[in-house]
Amino acid sequence: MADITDLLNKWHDGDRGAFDELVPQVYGEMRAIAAHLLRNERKGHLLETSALVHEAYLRLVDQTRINWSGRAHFFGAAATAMRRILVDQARRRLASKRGSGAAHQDLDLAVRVAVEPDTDVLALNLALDGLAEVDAELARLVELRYFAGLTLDETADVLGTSPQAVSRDWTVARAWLARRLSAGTPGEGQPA
Amino acid sequence: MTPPMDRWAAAKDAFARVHEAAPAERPALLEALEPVIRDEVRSLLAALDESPPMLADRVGAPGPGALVGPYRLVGEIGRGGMGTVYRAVRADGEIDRPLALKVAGDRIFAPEAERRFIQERQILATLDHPNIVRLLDGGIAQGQRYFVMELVEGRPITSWCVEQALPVRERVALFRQLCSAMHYAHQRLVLHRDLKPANVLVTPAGQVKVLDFGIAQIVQASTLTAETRTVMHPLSFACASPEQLRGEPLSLTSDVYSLGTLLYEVLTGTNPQLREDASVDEALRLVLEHEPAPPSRVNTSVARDLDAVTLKAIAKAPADRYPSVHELDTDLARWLEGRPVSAVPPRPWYVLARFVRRNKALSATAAALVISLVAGAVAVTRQARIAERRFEDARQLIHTTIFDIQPKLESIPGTLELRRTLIEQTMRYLEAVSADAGENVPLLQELSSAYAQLARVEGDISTSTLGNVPAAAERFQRAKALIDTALDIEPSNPELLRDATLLHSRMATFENSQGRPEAALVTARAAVGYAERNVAARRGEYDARELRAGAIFSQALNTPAESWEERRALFVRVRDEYRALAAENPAREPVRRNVGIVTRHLASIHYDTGQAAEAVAHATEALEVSEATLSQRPDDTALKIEAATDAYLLGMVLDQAGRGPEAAAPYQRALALVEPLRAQDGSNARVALVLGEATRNYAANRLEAGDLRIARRQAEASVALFEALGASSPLPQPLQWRYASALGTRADVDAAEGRTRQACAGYARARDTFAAADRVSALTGMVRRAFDRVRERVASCGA
Repeated sequence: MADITDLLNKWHDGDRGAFDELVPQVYGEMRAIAAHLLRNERKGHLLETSALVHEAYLRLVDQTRINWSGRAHFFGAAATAMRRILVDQARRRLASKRGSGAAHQDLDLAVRVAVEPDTDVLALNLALDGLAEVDAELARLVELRYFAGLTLDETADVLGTSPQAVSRDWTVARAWLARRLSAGTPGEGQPA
Repeated sequence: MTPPMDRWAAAKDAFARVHEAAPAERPALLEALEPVIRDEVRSLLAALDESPPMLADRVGAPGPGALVGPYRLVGEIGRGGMGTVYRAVRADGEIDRPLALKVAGDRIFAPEAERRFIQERQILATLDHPNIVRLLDGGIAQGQRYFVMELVEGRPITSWCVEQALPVRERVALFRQLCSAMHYAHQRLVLHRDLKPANVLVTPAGQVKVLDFGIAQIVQASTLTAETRTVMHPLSFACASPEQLRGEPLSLTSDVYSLGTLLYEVLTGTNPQLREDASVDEALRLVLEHEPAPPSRVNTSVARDLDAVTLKAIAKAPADRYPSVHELDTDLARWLEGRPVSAVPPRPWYVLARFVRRNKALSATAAALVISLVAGAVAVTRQARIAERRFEDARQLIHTTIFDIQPKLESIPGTLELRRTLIEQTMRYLEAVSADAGENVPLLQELSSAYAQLARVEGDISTSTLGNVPAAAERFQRAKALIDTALDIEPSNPELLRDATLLHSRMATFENSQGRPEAALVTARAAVGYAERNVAARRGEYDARELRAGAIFSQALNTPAESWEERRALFVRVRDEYRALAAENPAREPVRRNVGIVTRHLASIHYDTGQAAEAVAHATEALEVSEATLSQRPDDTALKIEAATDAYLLGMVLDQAGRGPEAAAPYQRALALVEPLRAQDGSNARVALVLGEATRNYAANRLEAGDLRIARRQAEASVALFEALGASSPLPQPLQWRYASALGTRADVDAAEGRTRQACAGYARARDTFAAADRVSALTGMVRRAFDRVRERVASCGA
């Protein structure tokens, strides 16, 4: 398995394939970190996603071999991984509510990351896929802000833009998602 | 028509412009748009405005420019655990300076988070201190909770010290502002739990402000510990206490620890427990185990006393830290004024104590190393002038050598020589310190315990003896004199009463073993008197009652056999008390053990008077108890000896009850338990005694069964054991009797084998050995019968 720092640097050097390798690795590591952090927690305590992402960065990336933009790249990959974790968790929980997911109970406990009622994550995930078709950049921004819990500044770093622009786009994205979510059915509400 | 993607870009752009505009200007802006774009923007604006608060919460926190109640958000400052903090201004201009506004974050959905957000606001509302961020306002706007605090624009305290190149004295003075804030918060029972540089800012005017009570906790006044455990904040390793990382309950001293790490960093510019390149596991290990270097090693301008203060604040064990922020602050004030601090720089024996405490299973080799270290420590101490020595030092050394190391060595076979060396070293030190004790009650108490402990290890037959009986008697007298002096000063001090009880009980045992039963009984009664005073002073607490039971036990043991009924009644009372205590607290092993030990004595006194049936019942129960305890700690020497004692006693009572064939198994069990111990540590008197008794009685049992071969072997072994025991110093009276009995049994074997002359010589020796013990006229019970029997045999030999 390639080293995460190496992958980040490769990605930085223009190797797009590195990103695809990066996400599943970060996904696995972040689940492990979440489990580690939650091991001694009392039941009912939740782990903030942003805390998890930052923790993963400290733990997984060799900070002596990474530059400032590598950090941004990592947050990008972590946001995607975090989204997958939350969506998987929501699906599992939904499945277990329907009585078919008992076997996943342990996994679920291991990644007890703070999140809203599960069905909403799934709906948002779907709406976000819709947004990505319209505006991939905006969808990416939501991933960073919402799933990785990054601040405006950190999001701007990852996207290579200014905090002001992030703030503006964030509002648009929220409006678009709100419209899609309130409409209920995917496919509607596309720009005319 | 613009192509769809360009249309979207245009709509996005238009939406942003319209959304940021004042409401009055919106219609005009919308009107100017291309119709398709205008519809899109209208639809998005409507979605944003009409979306229920829940959705707004879910999708995102308000952005800059938004209004929250009467405040306009200007920019995002950061996201804390419980929400997002914005720079904000009063929209109506009522307050013209910028403020900090915290909104319950978009990422928190759990009721727990909601509860904590509310709690942070409540906590801030109770805190009004110049060094704590002030709560100004709060409310609910568009379904979102928020509160407003003064905006602190400053630098983390650690960065400030570096940037301002503050000298050490000024750093300490600055740090005391933080202490003042935290002392104030603690007085209001608020634990911060997340003290770290980012939460302790210094304003340009040089004022410290503590921020972010987001995971603060109100502690229970009764226990001063937090009701719930810590919330894990992954980025807070730098200042988290070991108990916090272990998820244990927190107390005020957890904040003391975090303050200590901050003090360390303020003084040195480096965090004591965070290495930049450390992984999470390494970081955890650093916090839990790594002993940081003294600050002066990192920054040479830090004084030694500040080293001591800092290291005391960040001691791994909460009990080793300052009990409160106030004490830490007081020490810093003392240092600033050039006075001595209360924190003592770690001494060699402190390091040693830590070493011993950590190495629970101390090997004999490690023990040897420890002894050489102690010897070194004592040598260093003796060079210093006694008058200048702090009493604290004395306490440390005594505790380390006598209370930490000795008991540990005791359960390791083969360490008698080491222990002797240790005691010699310690004695020299004690003599020097007690000359200076004066009316210092804690020191008198400490010294008394130390002498008592020395006496115990040197002379008490109930543990491995170091074979220096006259020295032991002298130590007991010293211990008694010291505790009496202390009790004259503080007559109802429960700790002194407790020590006096223990001391007199032990002394009674010792006196009895020296053949002074009258003195022993007087001393044992005195012990019960102290124990009763202690029960009164402690209002009947469990510990006090347990101690009293022990004292009465000692009285029972020292009540002469002639007062059999009184003795039996005392044993029954003690057994019932221990049973009650065991029922009250089943986890307490010593109490359970004592139920067994007292039961053994009941068996033994019934045996002495020939009441075989009662004796068998008691002995069976005693063996059950001791085997059960041993099964939990199968390597414990003392437990093995106890079980072996019960086993051979059961054999003896079965023999007496005429159930000889059943007795062989318990005898063999006893031998199996203690023979390996004898091989390991030949000088352990207790092992020799138990083995001597077991072999002698087993020999008699085999003789009765007609198995002369085994009877011979066991009888020889028994005699050899007592002879070896008596080789170094004369045998105490009870052992003398047992030795005589062993000689008698061997003569019985001779007689059975038909060696009449040898048997007669053996009986004569046995009689003389009995007679050599003092007060032969006072012999009672089985001993008396054994003596009479031997005398009869001698007489018939002569006939």
